[in-house]
Amino acid sequence: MKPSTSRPRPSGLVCACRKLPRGAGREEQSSILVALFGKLGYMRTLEVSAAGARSAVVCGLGAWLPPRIVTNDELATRLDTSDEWIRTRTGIQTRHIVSPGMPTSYLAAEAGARAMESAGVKDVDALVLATTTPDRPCPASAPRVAHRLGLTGRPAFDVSAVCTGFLYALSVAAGLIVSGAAEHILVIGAEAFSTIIDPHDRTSGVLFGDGAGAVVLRAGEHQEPGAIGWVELGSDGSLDDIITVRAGGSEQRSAGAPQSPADSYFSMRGQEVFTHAVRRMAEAATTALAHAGWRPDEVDRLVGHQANLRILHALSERMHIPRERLVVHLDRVGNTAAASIPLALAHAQSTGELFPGARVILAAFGGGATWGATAVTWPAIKAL
Amino acid sequence: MDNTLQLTFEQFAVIVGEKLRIPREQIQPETALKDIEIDSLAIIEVMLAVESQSGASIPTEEVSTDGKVEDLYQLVVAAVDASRK
Repeated sequence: MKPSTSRPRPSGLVCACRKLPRGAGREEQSSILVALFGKLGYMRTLEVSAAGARSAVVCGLGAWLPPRIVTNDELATRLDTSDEWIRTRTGIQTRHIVSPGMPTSYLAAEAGARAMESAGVKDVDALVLATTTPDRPCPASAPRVAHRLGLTGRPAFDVSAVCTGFLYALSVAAGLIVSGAAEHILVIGAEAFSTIIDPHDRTSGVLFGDGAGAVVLRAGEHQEPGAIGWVELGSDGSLDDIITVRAGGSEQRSAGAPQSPADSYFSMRGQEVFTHAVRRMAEAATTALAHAGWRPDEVDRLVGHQANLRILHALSERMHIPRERLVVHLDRVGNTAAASIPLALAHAQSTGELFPGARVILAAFGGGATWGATAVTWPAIKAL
Repeated sequence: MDNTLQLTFEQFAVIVGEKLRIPREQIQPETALKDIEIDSLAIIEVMLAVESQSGASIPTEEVSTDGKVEDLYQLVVAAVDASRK
């Protein structure tokens, strides 16, 4: 989805045509045509001259993890697994888990407040929350997060694309800014993912963690560091079974079938997810690279969705980007779904792996199936 | 890997050895996948490496870790052949 590089005002064109009075004289018609061409010329000028084009620019970054840390050894006390098995198969060492009574909105508000402080803003024009684990099936959690942040009255909505959620939300928010509908938007990825994991599932139980990360986007110009350019997004609904919570939605409820305990939890077909994730992230990231005009060897940091270290290694291999340029955060937090990319960004900012001017590729794959990627020249910001 | 040639067992075994970080000699057609501790994701890592190197499209269905190295090799060869046609 490419945000238009000009501030589109197509309604002006439509109005000009509609206003053409019936039986208008030649002189009147030509003046209208001049007005039309003038308008088109203006728009084209803006599109060609990207330097002046309005874009969404990253200006704040925040992260929050719930304090409770669960180690592999602790998991091994209640699941048939071991620290060695989890580390070698997934790269994960610890994950953070919500305390009782701590829903996704709590995490989202904590990260959102930090991102706004990082950006130095006390208000935004809209809030977009990417999550797989909203506080309730209905309504969306974003209004509650906005209310907690003192943003009551601002438009706030959820975006659901599982692990690709943050990139979908980023793209939607960037579009709102480019259209002129907003000057500042808070984009949050937040998950209490542990709440949809079967506590007895030794496969998924070790992979996921909870947390939230957020960015503030502001209106700026295309050539600035932090500008969001082309966000390559895609989906394939024929793969809706490979990452899913089967029950609890209208599919199961309309069938009148009782909700089976197993179906109310998350399930994943690991091999298929691995294959599609590597293929789709590599394709999308390659497209994002092409739009940015960068060669793979010019990429300073590849921030892939933090699902599994082996997926990240396969991605770097396929893209011919050295492993050393991968940002790896999953060892500490596991797979945090929609929160994974902003959490990894905040981590990499704190370690110095991200620096002003760094050429960064973001890539994700998730349930749906959905996928996405974009290229960002890293701005001079601080993560909180 | 030359796209016009068959994927030989030797070439395949080299990829498996690299992915599993085990000596090439341990990878024989009759070797049980379990004996070289290949897990379900390692099978995919091998398949994706073949895909990258050969340009072939590998199958995405679940592949069992119960068989022998030869079974996995035949699956990959069939995928490479199918991609050429």
